[in-house]
Amino acid sequence: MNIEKKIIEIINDVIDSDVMQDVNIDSNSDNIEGWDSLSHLQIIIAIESEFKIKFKTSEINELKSIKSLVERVSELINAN
Amino acid sequence: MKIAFLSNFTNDFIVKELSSKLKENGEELALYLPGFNQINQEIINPQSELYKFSPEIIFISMDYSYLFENLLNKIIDINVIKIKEEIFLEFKNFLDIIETLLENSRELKVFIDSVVIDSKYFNHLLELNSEFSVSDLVVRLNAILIDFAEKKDRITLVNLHNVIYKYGEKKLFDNRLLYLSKNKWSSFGIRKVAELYTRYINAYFGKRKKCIVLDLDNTLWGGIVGQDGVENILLSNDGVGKAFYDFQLGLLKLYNQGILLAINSKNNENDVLEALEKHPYMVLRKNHFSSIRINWNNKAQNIKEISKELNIGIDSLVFLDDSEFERNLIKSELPEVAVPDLPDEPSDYASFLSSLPFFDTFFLSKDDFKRNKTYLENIKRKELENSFTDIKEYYRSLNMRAYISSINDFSFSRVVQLIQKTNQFNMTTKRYTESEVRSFLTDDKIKIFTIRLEDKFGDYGIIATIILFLERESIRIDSFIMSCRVIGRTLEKAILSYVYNLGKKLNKRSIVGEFYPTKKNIPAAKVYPESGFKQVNENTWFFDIQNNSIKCPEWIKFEEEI
Repeated sequence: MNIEKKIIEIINDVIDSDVMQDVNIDSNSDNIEGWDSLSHLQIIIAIESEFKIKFKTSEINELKSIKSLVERVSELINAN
Repeated sequence: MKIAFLSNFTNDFIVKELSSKLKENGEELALYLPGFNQINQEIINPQSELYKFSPEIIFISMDYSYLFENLLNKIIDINVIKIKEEIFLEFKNFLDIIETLLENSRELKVFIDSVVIDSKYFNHLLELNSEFSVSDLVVRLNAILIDFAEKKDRITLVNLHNVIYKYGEKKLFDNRLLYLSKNKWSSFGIRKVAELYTRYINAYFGKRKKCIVLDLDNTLWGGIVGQDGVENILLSNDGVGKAFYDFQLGLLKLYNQGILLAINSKNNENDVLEALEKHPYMVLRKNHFSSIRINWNNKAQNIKEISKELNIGIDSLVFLDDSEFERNLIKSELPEVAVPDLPDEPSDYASFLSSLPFFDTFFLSKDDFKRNKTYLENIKRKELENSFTDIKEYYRSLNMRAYISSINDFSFSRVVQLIQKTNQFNMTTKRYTESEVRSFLTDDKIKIFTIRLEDKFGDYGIIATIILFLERESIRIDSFIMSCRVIGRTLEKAILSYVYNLGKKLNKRSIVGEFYPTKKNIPAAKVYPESGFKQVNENTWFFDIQNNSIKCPEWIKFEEEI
């Protein structure tokens, strides 16, 4: 399973913006339009249910980039 | 659809889920959703964005735990009574705001969440046993809310409780989201609340389905009637077969709310009709089905015909079939038909049916309800009858009370109806017209009585009438009519016993009864001989009052009613 590809897919789904945005490994909440605090939580819960993992409350707001998400998701999957 | 949401928590997630659901169903949707806790501002200010948006419906989406949070946290206190008073006051303020909303908007339909308090505010064993109980607070707040809504037909309450009962806080809540975003619902909870709101929206816009098209084998009963035989299909009021029985009861409940039922089955028609007519635990009989297609044709073709026959659109049909093949066929050939996937496990059929969102309505008219009420009661009687081997025991258990009274203004039309319509238990089948019956009223030699019956399952209303001609030495029973719904309960004996007592009181010597056979009144043929009448000629029966008596069966309480 390609974690990065899946996460990008989820973000595209949640953000559902009118303009096509190029979401890639370097994307984060600052350079993607619509990635605000509410959609961030939606992204988080969508990722959780996709990968059957759970983030801690305290780390959720630290995971606002594709890179950090991919890293953390990989860690949690390996820990399972 | 123009829908607004006002909320005291972050309900963006719920609204987003809801809007994607409605859009999936092809709805044109405009939403208005101010930030959380804008309820008062939006409602009180007549120039607010809310009123400019002019929604058709509005959801007052509430986290009551959050609304009362400060007070709930203070409840373990010597002044608990005062804290509770403050909660009621806070709630009253909330309802006053809703009142203002109604005043400021003419047509708006308002949905308000029922009061749910999260269990973390409950005080364990103190609950229900002390003044520190929060549970009773919830009950009372809901009572106030229901009372408030009852008087206002623009308000409908959203039964949020049902979601909590069904799935539980553990699955529905996500504490992380509560602290990160002021929304306590988990992704699962968000989905469930959105589903619930969607049901209210669809019901409001009249998107109720009209007809359930049913497969038979392994859907309405277990097994295949054509192979297994009527006596071997799985259907009973006990054990595994009860799953199908309960499923049928669920369908009957919908039928009683005005939902049509239709059959779409690959079978030999005779096998099915035999099962429908003869199986002792068949809840749904042939006459419950408005349209029947039992053949070996393509089921999609059958559905098209059913829709035509009933003159309702394809999109108001729901198709239930255990076969995935048939379901997929309908899904692909007739995508407008709702085809929910029946569970693999028949034990889940009944709860599955009750969870379907297609038949929602906020109210049932009295007529909808009453029409089939007697039918339901009869099912219970039948069940009871089946559980007794001794018929007298059964009669005793029914707890029958019969009330006889002279005809009056209220019963007049019912008497005429009985005279004109009753075929089976009708001794003489004299079809008097309304004016003929009226002329009897002024003749003091003619007595007309009506009989009303109740039993432990319900009130039948007036189900019998008897017309007596008082002659010099005898009482002649001119007409004796009983509704077919109460045949077989020995009520006729009780009525004749009343006539006997009347004869005695009036010092008559005899009762004269007549029986004129027709094609249909066979059920009444033996009434007179079985009560001790002697036949004097072909149609006339004679009862000697002075030397005989007729006793009222001990299991019927028979009283005069004014």
